Amino acid sequence: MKRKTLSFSLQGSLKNDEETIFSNIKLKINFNKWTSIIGKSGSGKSTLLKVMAGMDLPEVFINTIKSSNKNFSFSWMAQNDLLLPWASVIDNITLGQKLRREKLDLERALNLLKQVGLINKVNALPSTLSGGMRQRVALARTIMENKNIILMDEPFSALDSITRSEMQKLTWELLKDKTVIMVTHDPLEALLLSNDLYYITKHKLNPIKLPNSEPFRKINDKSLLYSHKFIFNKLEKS
Amino acid sequence: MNYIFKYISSFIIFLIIWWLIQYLTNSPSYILPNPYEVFLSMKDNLYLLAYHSMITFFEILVGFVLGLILGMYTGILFIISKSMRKWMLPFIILTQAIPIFAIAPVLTLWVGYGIWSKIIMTILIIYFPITIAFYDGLKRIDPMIINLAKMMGANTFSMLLKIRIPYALPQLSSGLKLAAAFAPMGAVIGEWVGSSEGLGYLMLYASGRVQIDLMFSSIIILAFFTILLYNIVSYVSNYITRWDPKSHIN
Repeated sequence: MKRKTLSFSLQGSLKNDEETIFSNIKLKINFNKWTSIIGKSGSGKSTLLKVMAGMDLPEVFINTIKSSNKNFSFSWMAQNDLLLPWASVIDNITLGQKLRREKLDLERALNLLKQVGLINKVNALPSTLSGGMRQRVALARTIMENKNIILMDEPFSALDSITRSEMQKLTWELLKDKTVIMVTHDPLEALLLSNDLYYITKHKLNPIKLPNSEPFRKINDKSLLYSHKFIFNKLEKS
Repeated sequence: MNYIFKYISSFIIFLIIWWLIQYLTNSPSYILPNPYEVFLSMKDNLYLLAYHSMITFFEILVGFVLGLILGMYTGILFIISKSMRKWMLPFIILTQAIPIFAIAPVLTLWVGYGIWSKIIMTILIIYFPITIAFYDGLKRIDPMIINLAKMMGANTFSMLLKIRIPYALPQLSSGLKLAAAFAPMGAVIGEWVGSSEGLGYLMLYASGRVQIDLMFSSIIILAFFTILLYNIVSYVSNYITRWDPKSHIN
């Protein structure tokens, strides 16, 4: 899976009918690291993630961002779990293999379910699960896909604070050696989880120097609190 | 069981009201026969009714199945091809814009007096609700799920089969239920316009000979069959959408 020789990078601008969203940004992603992009709502961070994945944007956008995404494969995890409501937990996890008409790797799927703590919900329908459980199923489905780069669009923001904190830990445990790009509006979340961190102001991506400690950072880390305040001020002014 | 009991009790209430109206207005039986007279007529004309019923049922069933297949096929064409949607949608609306009574004689002229003109009438009447309901369901899907499936490597076919069609089932169910209620109408209108068999024909025949009790027998059998068809369709619809809480409000 490692592609040391290639790099995943972005460069260019993004506009819609009325305004500039990103002007001449540059971004290079480090592999096997967790990169976060933080911005206020409406700053275009989710749209940027879609650009990275090569998804079709609504027609109002004029996108001149060049990305090396053709060389990579992506999996996607969003705030909305995007589970298929008629399919059981195990069917949802193996969806990618079914769509590609591959042989189902049930052993791996069950193993992942065990890791996310839902081995007793193999045949349950999504509507019978809590929000936190559904997001864990989505996490298992994301990992099951085994793609080069994992894109996460505010994956924890719909959860209550206790569940969110559990999910952050679990997700980090399972994805710490992968290449992850996450957008979020929560500075603390970004600080706990990231190896590289950028914030969006004035249509640019600005890197932030992170505390020296490695993620998953402790919440009582003094330098983390300092960074938190710094980001907060920057976002407030943006 | 409870369900059947409810149907039987509402049928009995219906009979009582019918009887009361007949009794209170003191209508002669050539205007409004009472339920007992109709029952006797059913008994006397058992074979006649059975024969004509079979023909109408056959027309309705074949029309329903063909209309369903055709409607679903059109819905799928609409979702995979923009030009199909653009060119065919006005044509489909046209099938609804022309009153069905106006088409019926033309169809009989073209296809003949046999059962096919009635089957085509049935198809025409249910094609629109099924196509529109199914197409609506197919397109009303969260675009992020489509993006996710594309990212997972889905092609047009697997996307349809595993994502879009299951998502459209609750909408299709609504179309199916409408179709089940409308289908008998198509067949009977076809029979009125020109035929020598079927319940529609029998109604006209009985009316012409002032055998109103026989006419009522035909109507009751037709109503019974419509209710039966609706319930079968409803049962199947509920089964295929059992995962969807919005389809099952008690």
